[in-house]
Amino acid sequence: MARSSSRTVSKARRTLLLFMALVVALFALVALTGLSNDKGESTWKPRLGLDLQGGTRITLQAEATSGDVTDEKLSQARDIIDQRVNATGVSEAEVTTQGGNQVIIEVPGEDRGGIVDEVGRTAQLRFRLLWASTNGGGAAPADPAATQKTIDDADWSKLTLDQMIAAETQGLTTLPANLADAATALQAQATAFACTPEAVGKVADVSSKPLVTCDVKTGEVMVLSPTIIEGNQIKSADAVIPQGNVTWVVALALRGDGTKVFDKVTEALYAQELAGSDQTSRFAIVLDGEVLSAPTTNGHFTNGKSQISGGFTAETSKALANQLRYGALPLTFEVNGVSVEGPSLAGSQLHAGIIAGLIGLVLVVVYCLLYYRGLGLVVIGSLLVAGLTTYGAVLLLGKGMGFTLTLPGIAGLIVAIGITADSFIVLFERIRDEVREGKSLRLAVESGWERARSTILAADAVSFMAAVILFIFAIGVVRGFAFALGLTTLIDVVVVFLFTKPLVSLLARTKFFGQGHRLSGFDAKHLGIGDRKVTEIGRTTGGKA
Amino acid sequence: MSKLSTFGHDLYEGRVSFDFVGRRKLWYTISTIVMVLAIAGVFVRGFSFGIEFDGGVEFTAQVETNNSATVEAMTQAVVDADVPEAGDPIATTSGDSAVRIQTAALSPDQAATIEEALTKAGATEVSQNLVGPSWGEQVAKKALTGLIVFLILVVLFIWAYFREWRMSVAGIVALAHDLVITAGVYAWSGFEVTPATVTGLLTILGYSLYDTVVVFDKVRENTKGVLRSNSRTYVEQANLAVNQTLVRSINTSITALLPVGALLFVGVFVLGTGPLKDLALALFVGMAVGTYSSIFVATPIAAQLKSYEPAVKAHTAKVLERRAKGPVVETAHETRPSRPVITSGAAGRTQPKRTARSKRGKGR
Repeated sequence: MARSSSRTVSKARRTLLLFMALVVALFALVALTGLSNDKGESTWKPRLGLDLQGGTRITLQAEATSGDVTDEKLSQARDIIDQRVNATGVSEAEVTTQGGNQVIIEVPGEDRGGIVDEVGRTAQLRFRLLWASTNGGGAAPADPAATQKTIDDADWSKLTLDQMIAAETQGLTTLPANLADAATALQAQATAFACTPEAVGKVADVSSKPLVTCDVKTGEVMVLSPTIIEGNQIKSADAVIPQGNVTWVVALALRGDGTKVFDKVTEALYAQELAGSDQTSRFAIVLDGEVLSAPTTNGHFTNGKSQISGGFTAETSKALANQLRYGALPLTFEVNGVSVEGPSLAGSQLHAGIIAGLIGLVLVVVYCLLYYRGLGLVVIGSLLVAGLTTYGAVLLLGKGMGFTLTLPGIAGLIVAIGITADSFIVLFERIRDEVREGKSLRLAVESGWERARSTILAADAVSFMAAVILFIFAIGVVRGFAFALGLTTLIDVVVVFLFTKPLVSLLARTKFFGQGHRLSGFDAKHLGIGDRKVTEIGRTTGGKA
Repeated sequence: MSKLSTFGHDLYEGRVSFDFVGRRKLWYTISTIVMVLAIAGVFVRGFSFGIEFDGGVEFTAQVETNNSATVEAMTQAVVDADVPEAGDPIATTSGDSAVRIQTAALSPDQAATIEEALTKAGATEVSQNLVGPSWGEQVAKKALTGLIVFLILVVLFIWAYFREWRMSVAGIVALAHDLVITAGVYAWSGFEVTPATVTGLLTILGYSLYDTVVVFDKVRENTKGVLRSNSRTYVEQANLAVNQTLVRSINTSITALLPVGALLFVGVFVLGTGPLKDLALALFVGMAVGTYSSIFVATPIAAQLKSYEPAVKAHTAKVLERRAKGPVVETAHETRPSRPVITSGAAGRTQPKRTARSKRGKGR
């Protein structure tokens, strides 16, 4: 007996030491990651989510019509959007994918709702031939809907590249007979087209069909061919000043099929330019129905490399290069949500979360003290230790994995107070049950623990499972809630095993608890075991009344 | 307080005992009535969905003084912003320094126009939350998938842990019970259903099951070897388990509800509206119902299903028969503790089996 009890004590001490070492190691690790962090973020403060520090969060969702949404396409889109966001000068923004079909852009700080316009241009970039151009603004066709129908109903899919080039170089009349009506309709539409940003915004840019749109900068209305080169054929686009030159140009490089088509197109169009017909040597680069640029062709480019020139400044050439480079997303996106949290709203939310946490903690502590008296101190100690560990884990995960604390995350931590306290309650109740069964307190602690252990593990496993599932299937910020819940469940297990249980084992040997002091929570009267002292073993096991 | 703790001892010894399992028909009836009311509420009243489900924009304008005049001014500002797509804005005060304005779905540009108008009308800071129409649908779809996955895992987990499919069934029934009633509370009260509510609902599942597992664990412990002894029936042992864990259940519920209550309090009175309130409300209702169901629904169902098993049925009949024959034995049994009693006294009873074995094993 004596030997086994001293073994229990030394084991309990060792476990407590191990736990303290773990906590110290955790914080040492946090300090270590803090040293390598040069962003000027505070090491000892958790990374706060947008709802707690203010910022803009944009959810873009891939449209179902844009083909199969694969993970590869989505992460490609994520990279492009990330580059676009960075290109706007916002460096601290985070762009992530979510739920298999969404891209989330998070920009902390001041209201950056306007960023939607810049990065939300999720449109497709396309090269088209310029069939005809007018000034627009003329009389509308008698029946605009019928005109549009004629264009839509025509079968453009059979049109070859040669035929499209011929339509530019020799006029729309060279189009096959079955498209003649549609060609007329296109011209009628162009004549009536009023070149305003609103009108351009309404243009339906369909790759396989011709298009009537305009360049809002010049007001030129154009009839464009079906797409000849898709934007994803662009290998690179850079704003440069060529050697020996003084003006900015956009250097463009195409890849694969794009190179071949460009070779053929520029051969034909350059011939037009040489012949002195600038107008019929032009092609257009169109982003979501809007003409970005409609240059003339001044060379035959066989290797896909070319330059777009013409009155660019450093800024306009960079903007065009960016649009060319990042313009082509593999998917089309719609803006599914924009949330802008102002800093003072965010501040009050953080404040409220902390207040709620403190109130919750105090209430639980008071209740435990009232009911469990001395043992309540163990609950307080364990909760504080669990809180400390959680804080360390949040810091570490913030640095290591980019985990940010959000309002739902704080809610998760607060809810976890109750679940953590429950583990202690299960343990205490089991110990008391064992005492009631006639065991001395010291024995009861050990045997009660053995029974409580499996219950705590099973219950925490369920709780953890729920948190994991919630994390997988939750959308948006509520994932923070699930994460916090799962994290605290794990910490709960660690604290109960490595802190609370050894502590109770040791306390059971102190005079205050072990002798069943009136305020210890283990007193005979409190437990209702009559005259027997908690240090004694019940003579008749429970058989007595 | 000390009364409550000796109450715990009385419950443990079986001196005070509530017949949770035996009066199951009463509990079933109560639960059925409440569930029918809840389902009726869902069909009759339906849910009032937040803008997350219909699509729309919610502006939160920070203001210096928050009164009906400010709300009026903000509403007027939205109307005057000349964005017909906004529909009729709904403005309410939120907390003591914010006005919440909800409009129909807008484009980011239109939202920016309204934001500007609100700033002009005196808002010191405007936060906005623009939600696309497919957002809520997606949340609901995901939540439903999560629910199904969770339920399947729950069945498997309970079955694997307790080796008892009846407990799986009982656990699932209790979960369904909690969900339906929580949904009913939302339908009848007209509380707004937002994605945060759905999260809360999913969390309830975990919590409710957590509670059930703790009670079931005790049931399993108490009914271990019950068929080998002739003193107690399975149902009696299961009922004793519920009584023995009653104090824990009460304490747990209180400690769990206290923080959630604090969250709800802060959510309602400090922040006004928002995810905190929605989450806390769902949790508060669900946790309360969850505690009820693990005591009054899950265990009675598990015990009832188990009592249909031939071996258990035969055993129960045997015990009852024995009890009827021997009144002496019966009086002795009335005061007996949970486990079969071995008269050799003291710690010799069940200890060697549980405690000493593992210790000896480790010692050598």
